[in-house]
Amino acid sequence: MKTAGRIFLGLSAAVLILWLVPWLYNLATLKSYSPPFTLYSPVVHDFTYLDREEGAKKSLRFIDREGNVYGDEVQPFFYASLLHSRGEFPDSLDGRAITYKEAEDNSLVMTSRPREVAKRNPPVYLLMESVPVRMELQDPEDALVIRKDGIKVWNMASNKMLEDKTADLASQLSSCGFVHPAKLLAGNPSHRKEYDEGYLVTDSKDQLFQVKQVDGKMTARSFPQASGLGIKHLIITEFKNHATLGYLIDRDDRMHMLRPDGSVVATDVIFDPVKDNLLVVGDLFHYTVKVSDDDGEKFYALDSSDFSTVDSMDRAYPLEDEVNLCEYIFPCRIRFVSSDDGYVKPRIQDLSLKGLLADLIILAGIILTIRKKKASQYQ
Amino acid sequence: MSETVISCKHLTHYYGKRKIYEDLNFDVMKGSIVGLLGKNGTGKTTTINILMGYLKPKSGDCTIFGEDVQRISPATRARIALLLEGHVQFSYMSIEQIERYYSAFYPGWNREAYYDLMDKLKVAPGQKISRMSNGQRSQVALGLILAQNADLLVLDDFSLGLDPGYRRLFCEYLRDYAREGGKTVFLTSHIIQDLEKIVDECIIMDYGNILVQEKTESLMARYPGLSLEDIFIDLTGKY
Amino acid sequence: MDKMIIYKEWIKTRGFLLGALVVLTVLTAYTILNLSKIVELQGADVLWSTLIMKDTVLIESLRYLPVAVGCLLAVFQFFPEITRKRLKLTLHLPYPQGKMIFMMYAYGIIAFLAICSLQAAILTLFLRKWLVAELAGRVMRTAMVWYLAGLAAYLFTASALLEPTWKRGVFILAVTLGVMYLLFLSPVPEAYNGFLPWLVIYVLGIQLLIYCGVSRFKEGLQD
Repeated sequence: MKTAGRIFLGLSAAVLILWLVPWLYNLATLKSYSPPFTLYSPVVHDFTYLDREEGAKKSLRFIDREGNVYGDEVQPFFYASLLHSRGEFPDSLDGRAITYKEAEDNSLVMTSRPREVAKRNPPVYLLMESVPVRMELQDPEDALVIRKDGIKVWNMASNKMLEDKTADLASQLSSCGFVHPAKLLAGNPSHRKEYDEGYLVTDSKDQLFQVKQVDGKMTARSFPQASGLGIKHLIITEFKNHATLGYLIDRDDRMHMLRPDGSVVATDVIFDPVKDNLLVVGDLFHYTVKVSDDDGEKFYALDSSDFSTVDSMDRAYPLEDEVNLCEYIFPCRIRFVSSDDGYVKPRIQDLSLKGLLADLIILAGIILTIRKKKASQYQ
Repeated sequence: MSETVISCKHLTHYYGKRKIYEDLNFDVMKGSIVGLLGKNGTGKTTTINILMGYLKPKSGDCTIFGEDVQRISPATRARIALLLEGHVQFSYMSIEQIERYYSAFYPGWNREAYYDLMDKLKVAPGQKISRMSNGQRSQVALGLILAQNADLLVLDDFSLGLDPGYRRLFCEYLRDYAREGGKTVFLTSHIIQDLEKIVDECIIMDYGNILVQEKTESLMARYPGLSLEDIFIDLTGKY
Repeated sequence: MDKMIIYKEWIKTRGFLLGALVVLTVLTAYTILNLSKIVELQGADVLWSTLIMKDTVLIESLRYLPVAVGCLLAVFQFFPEITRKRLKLTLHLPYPQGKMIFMMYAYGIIAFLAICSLQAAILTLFLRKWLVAELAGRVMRTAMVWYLAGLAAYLFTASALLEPTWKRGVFILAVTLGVMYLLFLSPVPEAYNGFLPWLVIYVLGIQLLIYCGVSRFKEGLQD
């Protein structure tokens, strides 16, 4: 029992050391890297990045892949309000007439981070009224509760299931071919938006549906074109221009655009929502899609009319050239949290043979010293 | 032939580099009252701790009732009554609570022996032992020891902190208890004058070894006219 | 004999347990009262929205209580055993020593779990009044790790107190702090769900330190 206790204490201390010491070391020495802001330019038809150093002191400076330098006019949609206030917003681009209002109405930004996706959410979703009595969206009164035997509609104030609405929804979903239980749901129950599209939902057979509340009544709709994709992630989009209803990520991590008419357009964007960060900046002409992880970023320029790929670019982040002392001292590093998810669990990283050898030598030294001390104690 | 109750062979112990004793050997026979005498720091409490299994000696073996002291069975522990130095008790209990607690563990528990002493205390039944004086606490300890009806009593410095009245009470009860029941007593003390009347055999320790292990009667016969205390001082030196 | 062992532990801890029960009840009632005020003034949908949209479980003010209870319970139980080395009296009793130690800390574990269960029951009762089972369950599943931390605090504190050398006792406390930091590392609701079964096994393993400490006490180890 004594030996077991000693081993338990030793292992506990070892795990804590392998966790806390490298963490403290990184806290003291870590240098953060900020990649430059990059967008596809409809003016020069190339990716341009914001040169921060000069930009901080002088006016905005954009540089393309050839090294050519431009001002903010190379991104007329992103800086529309700035250019418009200076009276420099163009009235046409690529032979097409454009207006400032059109630019405003068609600009969109969407982000997704692994941490927002990889965490445990309750199977309860706020249900907004998609067609409010007044112009503004109101705070939701009801919620969808996902259970094995169906989707229940619950009134939050009374904490009671709304039998009629639940039956109504069940009937609507049944007629669309929904097979319970629901697997994925994506929605945005916030009144800080122009309109509400309810929820995109997949069933147990990965079929895609939309559920929303219109005039107090539940509606459901199916999307047969999305069948067979093996959807593993959904993002609902409620942009001002109604260009898309949502983004679908299939079993191969390919991104598909779901249009409001129910058609599904495949893109070349490969995005794993559990590992990658996603940034979509859209305008009248193009979508700049950035998919990034710890090692680098991949950019896609998509045509905003048909989502075909116009251009793409890769950027790897520079490797750390400074010596990490921890890899000479520890055989590995243990982490319990990650910036990529909301779970606490052990993750063993940065395995190092150098550290393992160093620790074995130190351990041998300690054991020999203790034995020598014990032997001399009673001489 | 009298049964050996305690047997220690080739007992050696150090605290760090300081030798307490080396190759200590002694036996305690059944029915005897043996006193382990010595100045402070000579290893009396160390010996008690080794015998009770609270200290692992550097080397040597000790047995009580034939069992290795490091692995005494519960049944054998029921035959041994232990008094710790300073009359340490579960002082958060009252005299009633502590009697109720102890009695559950000892099949031969003698309730009358305990309350016979407690009646003399004149304390409220619900009074916690922690709120009693040193002398009163020692009386509770003595009551618990006697009530256990054990075959072996091991007492570590029973007279510590007691005034002469309580010391005499303890000695009288111990002597009568041991003699009547044929019990074996192994005790330590640094107040020698109390032990002269009760111990049959003396083991006098000095720093590192045993000076004398002899029947009290024959030891005193060898030093006529001297009290046990005088003999002790003579053997161990004045200071 | 088993009953008397429980009896002794009860005498040592009854005052503390009663106090802890009162404090826990008062603080839990205060939290529930705050929530009921929100429900009264703004409606239960505010609670629903907060739980669904934010990384909170509404009862964060109670998160460190189990640790405080666990730690103090161990102090009330085992400090009297180590002062003046009273543990010698306990171990001398004619009762298997391993079983004696087990009974002592098993009492502590059961007492701790009883208090926590009572708090959990009160919380669940009121939360279910306002929330659907899935949301109430989310709150209580998140609270599980707080209770586990309290149990770990109890076992670690007992181990540190029973350890006869102060150096190793301090080492045990240092490990305790590290483990407590781990158990409160993330405030994200249900963040520990997958890891929890392993943490339970680890926390139950802390018992080994108690036996280790008692073994070392019996060998007479000291600083």
